[in-house]
Formats: sequence, C-alpha cells, structure tokens
Amino acid sequence: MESSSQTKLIQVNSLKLSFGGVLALNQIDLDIYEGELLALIGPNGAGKTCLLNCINGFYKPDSGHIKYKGKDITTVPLHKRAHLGIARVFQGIQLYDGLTTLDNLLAGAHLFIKHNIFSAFWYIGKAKQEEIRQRKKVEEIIDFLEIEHVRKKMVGELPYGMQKRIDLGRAMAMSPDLLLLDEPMAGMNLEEKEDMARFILDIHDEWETTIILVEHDMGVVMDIADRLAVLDFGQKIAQGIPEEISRNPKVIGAYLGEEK
Amino acid sequence: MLKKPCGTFDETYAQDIACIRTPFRAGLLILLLLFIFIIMPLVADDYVLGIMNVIGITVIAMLGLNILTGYCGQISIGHVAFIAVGSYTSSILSAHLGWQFWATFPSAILVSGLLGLIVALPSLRIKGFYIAISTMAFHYITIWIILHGGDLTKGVWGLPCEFPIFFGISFDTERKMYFLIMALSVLGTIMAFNLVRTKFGRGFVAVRDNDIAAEFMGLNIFRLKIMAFIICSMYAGAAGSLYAHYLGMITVEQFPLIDSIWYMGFLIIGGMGSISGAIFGAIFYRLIAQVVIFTAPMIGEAFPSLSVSGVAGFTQILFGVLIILFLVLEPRGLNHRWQITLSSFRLWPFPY
Repeated sequence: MESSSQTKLIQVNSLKLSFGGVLALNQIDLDIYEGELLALIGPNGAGKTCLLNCINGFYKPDSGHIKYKGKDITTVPLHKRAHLGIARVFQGIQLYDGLTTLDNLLAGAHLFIKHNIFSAFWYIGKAKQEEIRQRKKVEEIIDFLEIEHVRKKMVGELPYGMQKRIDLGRAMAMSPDLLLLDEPMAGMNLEEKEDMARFILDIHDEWETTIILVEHDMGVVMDIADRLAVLDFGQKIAQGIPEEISRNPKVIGAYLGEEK
Repeated sequence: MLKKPCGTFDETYAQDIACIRTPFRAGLLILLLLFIFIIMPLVADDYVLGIMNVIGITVIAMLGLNILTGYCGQISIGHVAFIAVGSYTSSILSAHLGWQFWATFPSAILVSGLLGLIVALPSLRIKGFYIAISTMAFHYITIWIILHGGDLTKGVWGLPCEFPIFFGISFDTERKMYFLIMALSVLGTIMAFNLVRTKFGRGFVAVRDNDIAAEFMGLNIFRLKIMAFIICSMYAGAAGSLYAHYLGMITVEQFPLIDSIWYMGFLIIGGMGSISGAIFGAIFYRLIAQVVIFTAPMIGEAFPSLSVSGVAGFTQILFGVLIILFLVLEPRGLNHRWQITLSSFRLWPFPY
C-alpha cells in the first residue's frame, strides 16, 4: 500500500505515559493513515492497550501529543472523543447487561439521537421520530453482523462469541471514523475468529473505517492487517507491512527471546 | 421479553416500538383505567379509597426512586428527605403565603429538583455505597433544618396545609382527593414509562451496568447521573406535595429515615429497573402495612404475653422478613413473576 500519498488520521508524537515508576509508553511515534487497518502487536504488557487508552482519552499521557484529523486532541475529555468519531471495542465483555441487543446498539448511537427530555416524557414528536430513525440505522448493523435472532434478548444471557459481536456492533453504531479494537478475538474458537475477521474486513472495506487492531493471533493479524506496529516494553520496535515484520529480527527477538 | 400473541407481525419500526400493539392490550389498559376512575370510586368506601390514595402517592415516589436506583444504579436512602422537602415546601407556601395547590405543587417539584441537583453533585466522584451514605447525610440535614426552622417550619409542631381547591371545589374528602391523586399517578407513570424507553432510559442503564464503557461511548455520565437525581427528587417532591395537601397537616415524624429503607426494600420486592416493578412495589408496601393493621390485634389476642410494643414492631419484622425472602427467592421481584405468568398464558399449552 502506498502510504505516503494518504492523509494521516491520527498522529501520535513522542507519547509518554507512566504509572509511578513503570514506564508504560516511552516516546511513541505512530502515524495512522485514513482508511488503513493497522495492527498493533507485542508481547503481554507491551503497552498496546495503554496506547489505545491514550488515543481514546481514558489515560492522560505525561507528555507528547495526539493529533486527530489535524487537531490536537490530547486534552479532549473521554466522552467528547466519541463525538469526534473514535469508537472502541473493549478487551473482554463490556456490554450493558441489563439491556437487549437492540438497546445496546441504540445506546451506542446515543450521541446521534437528538431529542430533549421534555419530548421524551411524552414520547411524541421529535423523540419518536429520532428513535425510529436511529432504529433504522441500527437495524442495518444488525443485518450486517447477522444478529437478527438475538435482537430482543438480554445480552447477559448470550454466549461469549455473540456478545463480542454485539460489542462490535455497538461500536459500529457510533458511526466511527476510527475504530479501536482491543483483542476482539480473544477466547474465541476458530469459526468465531473467522467470522470476526470477516466482519472486521467488511467494516474496513464497506464503511471505509480506519481500524487499529490489537490482537495476539499472529495468523489473523498477518492476514488482515495493512500495516503492523510492534510494541515491546513501551517502545515501538518496528513498523511496516506484514512480510517485513515477520522477518524483522527485533520482532522475533521480542516474541521468542534474543539469540545469544 | 413479553411474547406477542401468534399472528402479530410488525411491519414498521413504529409498530415494533409501540407499547400497545394489540387490541387486547389496548382493551386491558382501558379496563384498568375504567377500574381506577369509575368502578373503584363507585364500589369502594372511604377507608379503601384512603388506602388507594396512599398507594397512589407511594407509586409516584417509588417511580422516582426506581429511575434513580433501578435504572441509573445510584443508591439513595435519602428519598424520604426529598418527599419531606416537597411536603414542607407546599405547606410553607400554603400556610404562610396562602398559595393554592396549583401553585404550591409545581413549586414543591422545582424546589426538590433543585435540592436533587445539589445532592447529585458529589456523585461525579463517589459511587455505590458512598453515594448512599451521602444521601443519608442529606436526610439528617433536611430533618435538622425542619426542626430548627423556627417560625417557618414550626419545628416539631408541624404545619397545616390547605386542601387543593380547583374552580371553587375543595378537595377535602377521600373521594375527591382520590381522583386527583390517581390522575397524577397515572400521569407520572406514563411519563416515567416513556422516559425509560428513550435514549435517556438507555443512558441511565448504561451508567448502571458499565459506566466506564458508557463514557467511552460518548455518554456524559455526570450529566446523566445528575438528570436521574433531579428526576428522582422531582417525583419525590410531587409525592410529598400531594401527601401534604392530602393530609392537611404534616409533622417531621412523618418522614423517618427507616421509610427510605422500606422504599428501597419494596422497590426490590416489586422489581428494580422496571416501571411496573415500581408500581407493584408501591402497592405491596401499602397493602402489607394494611395486613399488619388487621392481623396485629389478632396476634395480640392469641399471644397476650406479648407487650403492645411487641405487636407494634410486627410491621417492621414482617417487612424485614419479606425483603430477605424476596432477595433470596426472587431477586428480580414481583414484576419478573408477573412477566412469567403473562408469558405462560400466551404460550399455553406449551411450556416455553
């Protein structure tokens, strides 16, 4: 992929994050281009999730800047970043257990539903129109993810693989420009992984969403990612297309240990 | 999820979202309203209507608590304090300034809403157990202010409160008040029911179930929590105002802390996080109290060795036992049982 001609969606400049004496991220520089699928890999504790959390605004970096669409968003609070179009799929299950699948997705679209509390009390006018309009959008996602049959089930009762899919759907309902996927395939069997990989690729192709994927399954990562960035002990040790990375001695060293 | 009867197919999203989907349900609703507004006043005597009035007021208060605790997950044991605020605002305006119900009622709602906002402010930083304690502190502060309010609140002596007057008709009997209270509680129910099925209801549940994820999804947690607190206290204020105008006289002893805990307990018994659960809880709360009133003398006769105070404490014991039993046997409350019953009627003769 010819990256240099594309615009940068996210620019991470010398980002530093520490917890007490632990340096979680050290001078990270990373550019993510519009429309690419970047995989972030590295051994456990390398700082992948920390980096996502910084981009998402959950952690405040000690120093460094994050630019999104050319604007510095380092100080923008967490809930406002969703309005900018940054969505997140979490490690593990972080759904709203007490809501149905449909309501979970609608809760993801919360920021697009524009009606005030007074029309909500009567469920007339704008409240009803907006709810129906969003419902149409959410139904498209439900179709896309093939979760029609669990539409009105409480998500707490559903199997793990299905919950992960709904988690993805909830992030999609935010109509993101940038989708952060934190281990979307952890703990899944082969079939579920294949499904998930297909969904991720489809979102990437059809919605033209930029995706940052954190994943441990190297097979999947090498297959679907446009570009890879490798973190180890809070430092970026390599970045490039999958073929390069799989031959990079530093990366092999980080995963398997250096040859003495 | 409530099963729809066979052959009911939704063709538009509006149909699917609608609550009254089948003629049967519309009929049931009309029957219920007929029962409340026509049959009940015709057949019931003043005593039964009195119970219904207290139930109606409790329903309004319980709906508010349900939005805050059941939906938004913020535990409040200062609910009775908000009711007291509503009552005292109405009474002060009525006794000192001679305002009518149509003016005192909205004022009471506004004042308790404002106090709800103030109590909600710490909720940005503190969660769960700690927010419960801070609402408890609010209760004690409120009671202290009422007791030391001097001429304004008349301390322990309490304040009189005029009966509502509309178009020259004074609502001074149980029967007249019944219509007012029922109309307002039906209105409150409709409003709460609509609120929780829009984005605000979903936002509240999102804050309850996973507040961190909710913040990632762009929900303004603090605003939603404050909103839930304000709505809760406004419902409480409305209930309190009605209570004051219904009784005609309020004193500080009518608002003990233990009632907040019973409200919470009976919300659990009714079913947290559903509007019908709150209504079941409110009805159950007041009906059990009636059961105690009827059975306590019998117990006193059967066991003469029990002291008077032993029999009087029977209410508390029964409430406690009921709450424990429900927590163990049916934590999802009466509403869950009701939904199961409805579904099995639909599915009969099949088990599921």
